[in-house]
Amino acid sequence: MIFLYDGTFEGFLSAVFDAFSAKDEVEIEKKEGWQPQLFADPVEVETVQEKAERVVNKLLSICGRRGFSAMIQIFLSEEENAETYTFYLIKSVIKYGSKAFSRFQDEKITRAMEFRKRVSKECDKILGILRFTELANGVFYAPFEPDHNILPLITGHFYERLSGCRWMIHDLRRGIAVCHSDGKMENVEFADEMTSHLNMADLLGKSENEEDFAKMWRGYFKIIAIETRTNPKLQRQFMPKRYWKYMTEKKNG
Amino acid sequence: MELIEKLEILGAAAKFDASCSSSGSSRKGAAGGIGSAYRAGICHSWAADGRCISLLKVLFTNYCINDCAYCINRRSNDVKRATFTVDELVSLTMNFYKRNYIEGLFLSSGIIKNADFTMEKLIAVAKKLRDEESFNGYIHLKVIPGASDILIKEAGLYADRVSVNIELPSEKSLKLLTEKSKESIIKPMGDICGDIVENREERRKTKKLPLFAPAGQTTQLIVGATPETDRKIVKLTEAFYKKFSMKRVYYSAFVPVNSDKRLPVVSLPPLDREHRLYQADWLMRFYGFQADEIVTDENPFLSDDIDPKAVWAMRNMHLFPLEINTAAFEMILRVPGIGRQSAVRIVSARRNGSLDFDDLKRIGVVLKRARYFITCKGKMMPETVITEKNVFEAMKTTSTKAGAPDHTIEQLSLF
Ligand code: SF4
Repeated sequence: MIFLYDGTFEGFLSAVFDAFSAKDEVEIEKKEGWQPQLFADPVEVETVQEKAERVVNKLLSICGRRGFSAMIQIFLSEEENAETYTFYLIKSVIKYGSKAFSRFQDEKITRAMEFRKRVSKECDKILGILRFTELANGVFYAPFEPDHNILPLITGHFYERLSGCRWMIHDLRRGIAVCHSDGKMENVEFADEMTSHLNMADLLGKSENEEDFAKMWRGYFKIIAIETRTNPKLQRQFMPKRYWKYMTEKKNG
Repeated sequence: MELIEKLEILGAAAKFDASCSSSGSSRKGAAGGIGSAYRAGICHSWAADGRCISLLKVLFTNYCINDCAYCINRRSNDVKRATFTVDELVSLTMNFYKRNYIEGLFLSSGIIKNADFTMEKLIAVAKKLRDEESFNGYIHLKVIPGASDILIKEAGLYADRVSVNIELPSEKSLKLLTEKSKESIIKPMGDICGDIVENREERRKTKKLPLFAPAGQTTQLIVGATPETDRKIVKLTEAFYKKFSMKRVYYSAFVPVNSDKRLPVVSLPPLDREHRLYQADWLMRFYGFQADEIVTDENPFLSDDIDPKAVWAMRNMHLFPLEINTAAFEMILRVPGIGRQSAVRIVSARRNGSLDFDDLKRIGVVLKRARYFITCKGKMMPETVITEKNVFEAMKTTSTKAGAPDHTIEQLSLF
């Protein structure tokens, strides 16, 4: 049975609620982009806040914040059929309790946990290699294009760390951004779809000192390597090329 | 001199120090302040040599009154010299940190005038960062051998981590190649260890007391500049962990930068040896091995071909095979091809029902290696033939990670 939801996390949880007692195998997919199939008669799920909350509370009571955040990570992985795998894990957790997370005998659970690992690995990497640029208006701006939808998972770290700064972190691939000022974090509302994918550093310009510090960082980055140990393969293994685009020391110029 | 030129001189002068870790401290950011410390440490970039960049690692100055044989900054070398001002270092640290280039500052120095004078400079930088800039990021200060105890105490109050480099694995080598005495190195290590213990005890009574070096102390030594065996180095490392509760011991493959007749002639740094030593160190810290199990009197050097865990297993074939479904966690950890994460997964997964080889594969066990040491439900993996040659072939590894110490604490997940 196929359940279609609106793409939001609440919508997904509503789908979990509705699909829970379904007898046959469940698939949960986004409404947008779903291709009608022969013989498929999908259920369109209505997003209901109360249903979502009930699912959240149930899961929190069984596996705590840690377990619940694992589910969020799998959902945000945006890997193929991530929603269906998340649903499968949720069902297993309700059946077996927290022990379900270590059911490596079950191929689907192993796969779900693999998604989770990819997400948490990318989070760890991005916490290190995200780069902020000081814009002319004094905001520290960090554009990036993660593989997974991890913006909601990393903002807390920077909220704590850069609480004395105004900053904005912008997922240019998905066109979503979070900004911070004076202890408040907010999702950025863009004027339109096109603006949401524009690099604000190009739009608003950089601060006076920005280029000096970027230049010093690039200089430092160069000289810190030991020539007799040069190992570009190892460097790329830790720092895959697809991330270089926004890294001050790696992007061109 | 322009600041960028200073940075390049004093960064290059510090680059042979291996330790770059930013782990072990966990500090919440203060409202309106800048910085926090993340328990597992964070790597911010990887240089062209594949080493992680976590902290802004620089010397305060590369002028030095000493003349250590292996050191690029020794006074008899004709190199360009520079000295930062306190304000310059504070501004660099803050601005790099806000751009998320770094986790914090790792400050060391050549010795100007005397040890105390130099130490005071390092402390002044840390103090200004903490008190005037409300900086809550990571600070690692190097203790200058010979600095007075009172200054070391002060350093520990501003820094997350302090370290004294042992530099070389024996007193004889120290005497031959440096102007430092073993005493001037070991004594501050002991003092720091004592200060940490005392501080933790007193904090149990009064929580308000500031934390002294919350991320503890580390040290590092140069491998391959002097004739000591791996056994000597591994035993020394173990002693540091046990006696001084060191958080990490770092190895730095000897890179010849000076020509000096007291030094060996090598064309390339002994990276493979450094890598094996890190593996041995890893076995002691995370796998429950003792130094004596890793390197023996008969075999005082680590093997070139095979990693030390596999060497141990091959020497102890009588303890295997292990039944995966019942063996103790500590023994599962010792099976070649089973890492720490897989071992954790095995013991939690087997509570849900017994495991077979397909399950192990899903869990992430490298069966190509592990098959010679385990059974599942009483059976070896099909087509496993234990001969010396087969096991040896399977244990030989081609590692691409040579010489890259991991800088973050191995993250263990419950799941
Ligand atoms: S005291 Fe330190 S900086 Fe000075 S020569 Fe010796 S190793 Fe080099």
